Amino acid sequence: MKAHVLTDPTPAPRRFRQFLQEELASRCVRNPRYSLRAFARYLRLDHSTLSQLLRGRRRFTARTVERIGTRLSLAPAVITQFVELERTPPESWAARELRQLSRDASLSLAEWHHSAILELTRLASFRPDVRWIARVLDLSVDDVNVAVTRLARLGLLDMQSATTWVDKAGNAEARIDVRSVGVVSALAGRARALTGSNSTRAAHYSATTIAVPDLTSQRIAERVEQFRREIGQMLDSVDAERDQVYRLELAFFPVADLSPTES
Amino acid sequence: MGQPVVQFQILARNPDALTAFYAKLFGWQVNADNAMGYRTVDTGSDRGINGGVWPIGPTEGHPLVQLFVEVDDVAASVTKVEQLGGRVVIPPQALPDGDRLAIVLDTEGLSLGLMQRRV
Repeated sequence: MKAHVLTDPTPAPRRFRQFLQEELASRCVRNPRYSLRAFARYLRLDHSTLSQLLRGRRRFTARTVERIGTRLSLAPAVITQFVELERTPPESWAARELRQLSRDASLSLAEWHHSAILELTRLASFRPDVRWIARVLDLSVDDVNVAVTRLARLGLLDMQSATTWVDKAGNAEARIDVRSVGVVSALAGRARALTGSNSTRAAHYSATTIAVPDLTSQRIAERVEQFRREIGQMLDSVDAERDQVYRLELAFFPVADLSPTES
Repeated sequence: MGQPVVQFQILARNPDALTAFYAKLFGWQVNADNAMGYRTVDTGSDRGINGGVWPIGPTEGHPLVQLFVEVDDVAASVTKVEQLGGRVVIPPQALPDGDRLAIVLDTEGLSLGLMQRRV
């Protein structure tokens, strides 16, 4: 079993969704047969709409808060407070999520074995056995499990069945805002949404861990070198002052050898 | 009938040191011979519940103890968690032995495991 969670003891103000969840919970306590559908009927809402609202899949508009608040006999001042809260971005929640997201994503990219684990899942010879993964990548079982937990938490790894693990990450390529908190991952879009950042300076990160036939490795290495030379030639051809400094890193190296060994 | 708590889990930065500590202190037996390399803990008693130890990285949160509750359907339980104000940390996953689990946060932000045994 794998599990990890980061809990932030700083309480956020109670939002309308939380209030509504608690109201449903208290009704269920008073009447064990009470249901989401019954609550939706009472609130004069479609039950799937209520489900989406309670699960955070749908925003509360001011009008929705006012309608539901009135139906629940909340005082006008309380309704107004809830409406104002819904207008305020949930910064503390977003900040917490972004910190965890940033940490997870940064570590997933800084530590090569995360993408290596995902790439292994694409191989026909893959075995959903952490001990096997550890052996192939020459890692400790604990290191693999820490990475697996992180990948599952990020939604990049889906252990679909006892025999099937699925790489949900694809190639880790993303354009990022350099004012972001250092998140460089396929989840950079979500990080931008949480911070509301809109800087026009951008960086680009591309990384992939791929299985290759050994006979192509030299060709790939030569293409990488050719690309680096082309960047230099392009810069030489541009007649403009160079006023920015960027880091360009290209790396291509083996991380695992799954070729059959001769006995 | 309510859902039972079926095991505890300790998240530890140094699982080997931790399991050695509890083995000496309480005589717990630890076995990691399974496809997840999971350190199962057998207290050796016919009372109470058994548990396990899972590793966390040096920069990840802090060590803690979780309870695992057995449910009939992990996916349905996760949906209910969200409806009741909890949050999902790790969505439903299938383990190599066929069990399914998810990790969620309750309304206090405490983490909890949901476990569905293989049929």
